[in-house]
Amino acid sequence: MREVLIILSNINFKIDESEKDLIDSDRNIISEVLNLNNRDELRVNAMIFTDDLSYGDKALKSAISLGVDKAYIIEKKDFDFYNIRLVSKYLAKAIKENFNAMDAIFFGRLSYTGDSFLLASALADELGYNRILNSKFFLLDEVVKIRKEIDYNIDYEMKVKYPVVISSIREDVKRKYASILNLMKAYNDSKIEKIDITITKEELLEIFKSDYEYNNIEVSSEDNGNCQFIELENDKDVAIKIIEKLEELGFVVK
Amino acid sequence: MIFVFGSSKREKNEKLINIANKIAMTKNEEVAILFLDTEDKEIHKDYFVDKIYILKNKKLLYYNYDNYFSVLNKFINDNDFSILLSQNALVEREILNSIANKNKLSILNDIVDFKMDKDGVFCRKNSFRDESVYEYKLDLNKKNILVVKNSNVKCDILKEKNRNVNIVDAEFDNEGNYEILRDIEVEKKSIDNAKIIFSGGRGISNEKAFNNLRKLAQMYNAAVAGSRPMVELGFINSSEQVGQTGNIVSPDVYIAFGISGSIQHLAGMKNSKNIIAINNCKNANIFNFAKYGVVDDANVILKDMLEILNK
Repeated sequence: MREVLIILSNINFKIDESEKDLIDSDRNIISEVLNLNNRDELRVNAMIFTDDLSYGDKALKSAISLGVDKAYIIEKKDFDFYNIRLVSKYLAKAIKENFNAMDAIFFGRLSYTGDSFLLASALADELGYNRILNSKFFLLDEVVKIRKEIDYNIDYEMKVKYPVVISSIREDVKRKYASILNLMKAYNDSKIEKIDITITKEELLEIFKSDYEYNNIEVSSEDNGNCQFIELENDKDVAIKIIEKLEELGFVVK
Repeated sequence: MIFVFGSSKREKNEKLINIANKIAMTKNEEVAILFLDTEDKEIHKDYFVDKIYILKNKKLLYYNYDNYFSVLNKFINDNDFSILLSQNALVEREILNSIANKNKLSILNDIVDFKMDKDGVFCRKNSFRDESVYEYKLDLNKKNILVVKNSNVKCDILKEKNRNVNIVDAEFDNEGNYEILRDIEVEKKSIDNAKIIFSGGRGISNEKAFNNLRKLAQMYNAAVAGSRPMVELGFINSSEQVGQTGNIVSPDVYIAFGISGSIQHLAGMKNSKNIIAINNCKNANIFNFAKYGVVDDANVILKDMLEILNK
C-alpha cells in the first residue's frame, strides 16, 4: 500500500468569489489522484494548513466526500502564509511527525501564495524528496511516470524515483463527484485529525535570517481614463470596425 | 561579482546584463555571465560583461534537476558574489529556489522592477493580489538570488563586448533519481514576445468561444492568452496565463474578450501599447485601461469577426 498526501490550499485566502469550499485546482488534483488505475493500492490522505478551522473543516469534508481516505488539519492563527519557507517548515514537520513514510505528496496548481510551484519546491527541499513541478500527467507505478512542462513549448516524459513531491497543472481532469457513501463518511463517520506543530525559536530565526526588509510603496494609478468606445447599432459593424482598427495598428489577416 | 544566469535567449540575457551593470556601477563590481551547457556556442559570446563562464558537461543536454543542481550549487558555493540574476523561466525558477532553500540564501522571485540610488539597491514586487507594490532593500554584503519577471532598467555600458569564454569542466555523480525518456515539442506560440495577443476571460468561458478565439488568433498569427480562471477551466495552459501569477506581457496590441479587468489580470497586461476591450458591462475596469472599448457580448463579436474574415 502506497501512502500519498494531497496538500490543499488555504481556502480562507479567497482569490475570487467563485471559490467556495474547494478551489478548482484542489478539486482537480484530488480527482487526478483518485482516478489513478491503481487507486486501491493507495492510501490517500489530505491535509490543510489554515488560519480558519471552519473553512479547513469544510474543505476536508468535501475532500472525503470525493473519496479521500483520511484528513488532517493544522491551524495557526495570524500566520504569515506568504512566507514559503515558514509554511514548508510547518508542513514538513507535520509530515515527519505524523506519517512513517510518504511516497508521494501532491499540490494542485494553486496554493497559499497563489502558484504552488515555489511551495512544492520548498517542501521537497525540506523533506529531501525528489520533485516534479508543473506535472501534466502522472502514474504511480514501481517508479513515478510523468509528463511535465519544461518550457512554454517543451514537455518531458520522465521516470522519477519515490519519494516525490508533485505539483500538478493538469487541465483535462475527469472530475470526481461526491458519492452517497462518501458523503456519509465525511459528515457522519470521519474524524478530521488535528495536528499541532511547534517550531523552535532557533528554526524561526534561521528562516527569518534570509528574509528581506520591505516597505509598501505608493504607485500612482496608470489607467488612461480615455477609452474610445466603438458604439454602432449592429454587432457585425462593430466586428468590422475592430478589424479596421487592427489594420490601422498594422495587423492584417495572413 | 554580480552573476547573470544565462539562458539560450540572447535578448533576455542582455536585459539581465543591463541590470547587473547598473548595480555594478554603484558598487564598482565586476559582472559575469554564467551558462550550463554541453559545449561552447555563439549564444555564450558577445555580451557587455567582464567574464563569461561555461559550466560544461555532456550530461547537461537535457534538464535534469539532480545534474543542474549539483553543477550550479557547487559553483555558487565555490564563488563569492553579491547578486545572482536570473530570468523566471521554469527551469531557472526551479533550480535557483532549490539552491536558495538548501543553502539558506536570500531569494526574491517575480521581481518587476529595480531602483538604485544613494540609499542602495531596491527590488520591486507586486503583492499577490496586486493591491500594492513592495520595495525590498538588498543587503549586498550577502549572497542574493534575484529571479526577474520584468524590468525597465536601462544602462549606458562603457565596457567592450566580451568573447573570451572560461570553460569549467563540471563533474558530478548523481544517483539517477530522474530519467528523461523523451522531450515533446508542444505546438504553442509564446506570449512572451508576441506583438499581438488575443486574450479571453470569464465572458467567453465556454469551449466553443475559446475555439473561435484560437481560430481568430491563428488568422492574425497572434498568441492566445487568458485570465487565471481560464486555466482552471482548462481552456488555456498555465504558460498562456496573463496576470499576477502568470506572465507579464506588453504587446503592441492586446485584445481582451470578456475580461473584466481584475487587478490580478491588469498586473500582467496594463503596459500593452494598445488595449482593445470587449465586455458586456460598461463599468468593467478593463475600460479604464483600454484605448478602444466595445460594450457588447464578446462571444458574438468573436463569431462575427470570424465570419467576416472567412468570407
